[in-house]
Amino acid sequence: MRHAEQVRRSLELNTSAGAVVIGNYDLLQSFLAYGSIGIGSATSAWARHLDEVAQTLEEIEQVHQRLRSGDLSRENFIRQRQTLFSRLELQLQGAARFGTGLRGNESLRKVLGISTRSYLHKGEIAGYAKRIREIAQMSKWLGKGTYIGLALDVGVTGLEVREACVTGREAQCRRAKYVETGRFVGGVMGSVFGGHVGAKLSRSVCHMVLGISMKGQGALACAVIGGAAGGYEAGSVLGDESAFLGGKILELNGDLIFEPEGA
Amino acid sequence: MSFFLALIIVHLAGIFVLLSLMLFAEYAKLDELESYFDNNEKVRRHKRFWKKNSRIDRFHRMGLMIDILSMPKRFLKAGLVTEEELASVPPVLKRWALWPYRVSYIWIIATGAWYAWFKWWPEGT
Repeated sequence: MRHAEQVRRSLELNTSAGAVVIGNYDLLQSFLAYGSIGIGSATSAWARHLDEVAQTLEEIEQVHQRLRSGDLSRENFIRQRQTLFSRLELQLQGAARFGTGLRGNESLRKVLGISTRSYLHKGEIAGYAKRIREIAQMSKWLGKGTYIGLALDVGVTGLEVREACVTGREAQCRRAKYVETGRFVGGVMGSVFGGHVGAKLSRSVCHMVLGISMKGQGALACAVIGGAAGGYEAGSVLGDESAFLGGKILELNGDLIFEPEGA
Repeated sequence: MSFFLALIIVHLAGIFVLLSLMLFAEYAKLDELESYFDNNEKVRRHKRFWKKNSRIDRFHRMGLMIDILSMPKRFLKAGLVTEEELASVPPVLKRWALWPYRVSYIWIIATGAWYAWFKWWPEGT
């Protein structure tokens, strides 16, 4: 209630923002419903990227541990650590640092706070384990994007039915249940279908038309963008289609039937 | 039942079947498909990146398989696969990977046509 009160007050203070939200309510709602699965796909891809960063960080720590226990000579240690740093540099180029908490233009050793002498003395890299835990945690949450999207879909459907039941008559409320349930089922099915086909089409376009290399991670970016766009469009259209079908269902004496011709 | 309503039912049923086939291929055929590319660096790296067994991981791993099988000449030219690897994949498996997508293109066009009909000639529905 306190939050609702705060929202109401801020809307009163800033009426233009409220008008924008109300004016774009349908757009906002459709984006929440059909865009969410695409967002889930993108966040999952980023989660895997963060997993890779966390794995490289763990490998760097293991190399230090092996040096400390005497399993690794100093020359081999330097060589292996250099290889891992090069891999990490590649993984953290440009915007790829987002979500890792590793910022700045300084060398990775400085950013990570790695000092061989300090490690050999203390047996741990200051704050290193915490950083790996944070990245893994971020990845775990991002990986849940699809489920959050689905929960939003269910929420939007529930809100639509509730709205019809509060403002309309009993018949409108009953009809809204079929229409909105149909929209939800069709929307989710369409989003997944559109996501699959959209990702495939955009990868082909990226390779054949835009000439994006097959060797890098360009195809992944294409798949995520194409999948999100395909999921949004197909989810929106198939949601309408299923809602139309849901609107044709009538309940007569407890039986579900299709609306008779001309009714 | 009107033609428009019948079209919707066929269209939605088709999408359900195609999506089921895609998901079935992702869950039941992917491992076998990947086994023919066990020594391939591109496939191994992709598998390492999408190492979890969740739906999204299998979707992206299947995506690479579909790309390799649908654009074999480009992958050969880029030096990412060998002719032996491509030849080792049985035609039945290739069909499982490729045909649901090929038929889907027809369904995507049908979706566009339905949308145009629904939006611009609503009185006909």
